[in-house]
Amino acid sequence: MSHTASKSFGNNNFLYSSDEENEDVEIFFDDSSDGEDEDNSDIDKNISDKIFEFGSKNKSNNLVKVPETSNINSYRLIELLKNDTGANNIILSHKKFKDKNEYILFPDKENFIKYQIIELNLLLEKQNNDFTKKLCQDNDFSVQEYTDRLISLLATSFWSVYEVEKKLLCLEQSKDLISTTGIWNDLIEITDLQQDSMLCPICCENILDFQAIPFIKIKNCDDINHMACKNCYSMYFKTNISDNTEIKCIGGSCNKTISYTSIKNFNKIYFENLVNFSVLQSFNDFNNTNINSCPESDCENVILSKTCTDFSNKNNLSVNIEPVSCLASHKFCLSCKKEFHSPITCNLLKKWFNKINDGNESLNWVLNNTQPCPTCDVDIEKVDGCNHMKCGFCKHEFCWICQKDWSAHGGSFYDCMNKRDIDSKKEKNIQNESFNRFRNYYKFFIESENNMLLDMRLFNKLTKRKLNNMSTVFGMSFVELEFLNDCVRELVQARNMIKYSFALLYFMDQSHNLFHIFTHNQMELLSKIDELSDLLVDINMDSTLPNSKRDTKVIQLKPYLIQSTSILQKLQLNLAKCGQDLIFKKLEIFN
Amino acid sequence: MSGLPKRIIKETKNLILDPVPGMKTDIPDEDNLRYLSVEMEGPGNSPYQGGVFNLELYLPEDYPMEPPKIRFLTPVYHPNIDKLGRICLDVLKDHWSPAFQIRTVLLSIQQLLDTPNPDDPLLSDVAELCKSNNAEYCKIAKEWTLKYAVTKKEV
Repeated sequence: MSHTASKSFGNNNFLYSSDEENEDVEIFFDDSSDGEDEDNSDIDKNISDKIFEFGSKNKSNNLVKVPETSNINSYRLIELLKNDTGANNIILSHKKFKDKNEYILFPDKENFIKYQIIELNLLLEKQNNDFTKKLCQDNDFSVQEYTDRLISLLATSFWSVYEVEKKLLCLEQSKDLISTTGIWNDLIEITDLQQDSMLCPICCENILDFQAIPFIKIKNCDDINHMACKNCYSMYFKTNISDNTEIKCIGGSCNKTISYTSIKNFNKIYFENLVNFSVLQSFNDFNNTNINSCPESDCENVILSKTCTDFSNKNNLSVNIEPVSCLASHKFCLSCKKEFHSPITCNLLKKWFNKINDGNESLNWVLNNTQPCPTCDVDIEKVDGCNHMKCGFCKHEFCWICQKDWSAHGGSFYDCMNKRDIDSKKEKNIQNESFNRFRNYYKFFIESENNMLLDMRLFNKLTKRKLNNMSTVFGMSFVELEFLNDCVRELVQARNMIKYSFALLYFMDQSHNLFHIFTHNQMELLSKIDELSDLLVDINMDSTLPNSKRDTKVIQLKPYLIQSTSILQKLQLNLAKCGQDLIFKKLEIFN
Repeated sequence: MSGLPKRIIKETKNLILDPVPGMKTDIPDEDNLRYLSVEMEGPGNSPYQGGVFNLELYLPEDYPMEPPKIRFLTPVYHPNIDKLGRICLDVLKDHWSPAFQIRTVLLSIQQLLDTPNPDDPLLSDVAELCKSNNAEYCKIAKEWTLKYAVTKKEV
């Protein structure tokens, strides 16, 4: 039975073919922005089994055709790996194209590992040097061993195919590197020593039975002192395996790296530890921004960006207007892999956080947690509660946000609408002015963050309870009730945007007209957020109505809520665009 | 004593019977062969010449898979040795190999006294001085040696 299927997405044609009975070729392709597809594969937790279950997957446009008559042997292993259709033929990869950013999402690191191996295999096919010949031609190799060697190449190069390519280029110039990559440094057991007994240089035990406890050494390491008994090597691996990507010869001075294949032969668990550690290290390496895990804790998704995003570059002004979401719909910024932070750029955000973190600790504490009473200048700390403050010293009542008299304030207890009037007092000292300015925007930043967290906690709990309740009472499906989830998600996202817009404003020149357009847009978004947020609180918390009435009210408000959700979306987009204008005009004043 | 690995017994015996030149190794507690005390002479032609430095050395449970824990008890003015006597040396950290011995480690430390490595410092201020004004660094190191490492010998 043979089966071929081709699917085209983006500008790449992928060809999937399979010649075996079990061809569960399942490709998930998702073009939408919120990729909420469920992962349908039965993911085996055992990596070493998974690593090997490849489907045959060829990038047809990159394929270098090998004439069948000539030289097929030179690509034997490459071809074998490409044509290998393992039992569980599933590669779950998503390709998305947004702006110019191309990236692939994987549900877990096992699938990521598989993908990188196949990419490396394709790269090796194009190479034609001694190293690749030796690697791909060896007739004693099984595909399994070949794969393990590819894994070891990747694991020692931060799991980046590009890094391996760089290494291979260096290999052509210097032969020595072949030994340092450690790919051929297999361990061998020596059982036929021409002696009755031998002293192990590591544990100093006298070994008599070489069959029971053989001596082990690296095949091409000839130093007699770099040999050790099997017990010592076992101990050596055990103590070193959990925090290294490569294990050196036990002798130390020869600096040879032991091949992954022989570590796997020694103990499969050691091999898995090495692979796991190297993948984790590649996620955390700051210089390697192309491979990351989803920033959400507990999320196993892996993201591989194809385009290099160098956000340390000062000239990089572009902001990602839309967030990237992983397969479990956690949203984050594609460039810096942090919480989504439109409208501010990654660069400015970094500056903002540096600003927050520098200075001395106690000053920071005072700055972060207190503000002076508007009449008597006593530092006041707000622990919790609403914005209505009463100074413990002079008994003055004021609003925590705008610092105006509470009696003249009126507004709601949690949200202050007078945020704009902050820079009325002009100080002569520029440094002091900058400091005050920072203090003000930081206050807004923290306040928005708190509001966001508050909303998130409150609504997530409520909607979860409500959805279950409503679907049973009204017999509505969860799809019909999805609007409530959408609404809450949009609300939280909009609050997030407000938060980062304050950080952006700090850096911008407030005398420019665009600044005012931006703040106007910001206020518009904020008032919509407040309106919607209040509405949701009302219909959820109104204690005068019985539960069933409240639910009916939610259903009645459905069209309005849907409309508000889309308005929120539009307002956010406006603000993001406006923010981008600000950034492109380079209206930065504080650096 | 029977619980100790052969390697440790052999190494300590060797150190006492055939000491490293310029060093004296002792086992202060006969019941604990994992704890050693060392007296190390400062290398000649260095600011530490003439001083005798005390070190303590402990062989951890996983020795020789893990490096020995070693520190100076005598204060030393050196970019790679801090106020608590901890030593920043590659063979004691990442570059440790089970094939190395106490003997090799002690020689490496003596070598470190002779040739400080200010590019990988433990104390940045000392390293700075060592690089910018070597004469001044040598002067202070000599003073410290006289103050802490020599007086002890005379008493």
